[in-house]
Amino acid sequence: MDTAETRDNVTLGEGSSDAVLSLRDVSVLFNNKAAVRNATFDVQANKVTSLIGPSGSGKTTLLRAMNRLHELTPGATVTGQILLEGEDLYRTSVPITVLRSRIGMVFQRPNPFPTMSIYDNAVAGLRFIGVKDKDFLEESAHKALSEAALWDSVKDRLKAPAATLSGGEQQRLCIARAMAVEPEVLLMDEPTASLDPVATKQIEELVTVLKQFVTIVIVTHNMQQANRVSDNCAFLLMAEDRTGELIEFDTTEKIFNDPKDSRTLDYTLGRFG
Amino acid sequence: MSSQERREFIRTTSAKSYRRRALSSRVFTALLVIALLIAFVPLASILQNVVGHGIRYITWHFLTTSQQLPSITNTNGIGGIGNALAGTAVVDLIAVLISIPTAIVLAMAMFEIKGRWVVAVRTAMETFIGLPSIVFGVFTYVSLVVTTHQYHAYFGSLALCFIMIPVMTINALAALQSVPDTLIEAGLSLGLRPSRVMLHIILPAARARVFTGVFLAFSRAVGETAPILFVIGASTLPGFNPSGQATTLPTLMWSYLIGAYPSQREACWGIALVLMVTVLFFNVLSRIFVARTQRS
Ligand SMILES: Nc1ncnc2c1ncn2[C@@H]1O[C@H](COP(=O)(O)OP(=O)(O)O)[C@@H](O)[C@H]1O
Ligand SMILES: [Mg+2]
Repeated sequence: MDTAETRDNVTLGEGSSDAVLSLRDVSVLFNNKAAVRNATFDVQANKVTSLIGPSGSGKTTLLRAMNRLHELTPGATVTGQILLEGEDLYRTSVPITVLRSRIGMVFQRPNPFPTMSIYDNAVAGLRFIGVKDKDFLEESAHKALSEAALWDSVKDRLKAPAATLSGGEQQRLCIARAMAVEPEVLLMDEPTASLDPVATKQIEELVTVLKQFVTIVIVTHNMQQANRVSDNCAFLLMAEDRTGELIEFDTTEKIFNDPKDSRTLDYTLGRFG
Repeated sequence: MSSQERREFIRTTSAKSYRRRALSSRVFTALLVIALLIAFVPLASILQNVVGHGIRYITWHFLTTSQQLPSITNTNGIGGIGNALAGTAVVDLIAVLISIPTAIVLAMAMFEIKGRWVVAVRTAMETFIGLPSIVFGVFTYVSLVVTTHQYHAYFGSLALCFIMIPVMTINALAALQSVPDTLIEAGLSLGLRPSRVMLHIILPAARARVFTGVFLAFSRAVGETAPILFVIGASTLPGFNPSGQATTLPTLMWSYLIGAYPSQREACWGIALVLMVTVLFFNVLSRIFVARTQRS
């Protein structure tokens, strides 16, 4: 893919053919007070898109909107459009459960199902959507755990409780669990925030490998991480009224080396936030 | 199988099973609605009856004047329930003042002293909760009324304590135990003594749930008749003296139900309505209180 062309698509915002997720004027409100306002950008297929910005700028809020997770929060509303391959997530007739299985999510703290074994965790999503074929499940577990770079260390203890894994391994198990249902998009909310540097590095490497299978959106407050792993980058900042705004969206290269907005430069240079 | 084929297979399986899952979801929702109706219909009819029959009693006169014994010449002269309202206030207030601190201290002790006897106490309390309340009435009667040959309002309060303390303690203990260990460890790591951690960290974090238990126990106690029936005597005077005899709303209702005059039996609807509104009032109050505490 030609970078210049990509950039044009991104800057134009509209109609880039390889956009898996398109956000159009997305705002998220809690009890009628906006937490994020008017975000518009495209998440391109098989790329890593990072959301960066200071604490409270609405990164998590925006990410959760992409999986309709705000529906569980009373008083939360999402306006604007989020298109998954052209289909409006919030106005489609496709049931929410089916949609969510196309958009995986990995959370800030590893959250494997505590009562399940490693294997059961890996295939939990498949079982829930009705896959019964034992061979298929085993193959999926193998595939997903390998994709998550976990297979070699757990292949001899698949029946062990997931809680026996280390923090980093638990997070990779959560990635495997999400990957097993073959989602088109994988949303990650600061997936390394609770991990040590070695485990963090492993997850980062994983992200760059995984993008050949799945489109990734990753929230991070670590700018080096955004710089290392992402292709495109969205920078959010709190406005005067404490509402998060999308300041700039571009290729990660541009954001870190030649941003259009001086606030982006200040932030990436560590001058505030 | 290629990745694309796997994805296709998973999507088709999901779509196929979705119809089944949606159907079973609808079936279970329907079952829940039916269960709700089964629970709701008797409740609604009780409400309708109590309000329908009782509302005409709700007058200033009924609420404030003391009860009266009707006579052959004035079979409707039953007076009001002022004395019973006052009695309920006194008996329940004393009971609450004793049981809240007792229960919280007990819960804190059981939380700190982990061990076998705690399990024993806990089991005993859970058994207490399950006992019919008349047992506590008989116990208080035998141990206090029979030995002192007197009836007192505060004997009734004590009997209510037997009902409230186990409920409050078990709830408070569960509330304390629900406080995350990390908070406790954060407190300890600052060099706080365990007692300070308890008072300044665990208890405040658990307070919404502790008070839920308190109100739960209280609403149960307000309506209790059996435990206090034998021990508070009966008084037609609207006194607030806890060492005197007293009448509460539930005991008045009981004596009217077996009373000789139809006017007395009819007035039970009015008492029931007042009792119901009182319990409702405290439940709403507790909801508001708990919501407030959780928000801050
Ligand atoms: N469930 C919620 N109810 C009310 N406000 C919320 C909720 N979730 C997030 N917010 C608000 O949204 C803003 C952005 O939060 P968040 O998305 O978590 O920021 P970030 O992930 O960038 O640190 C915060 O100011 C927060 O107060
Ligand atoms: Mg966040």
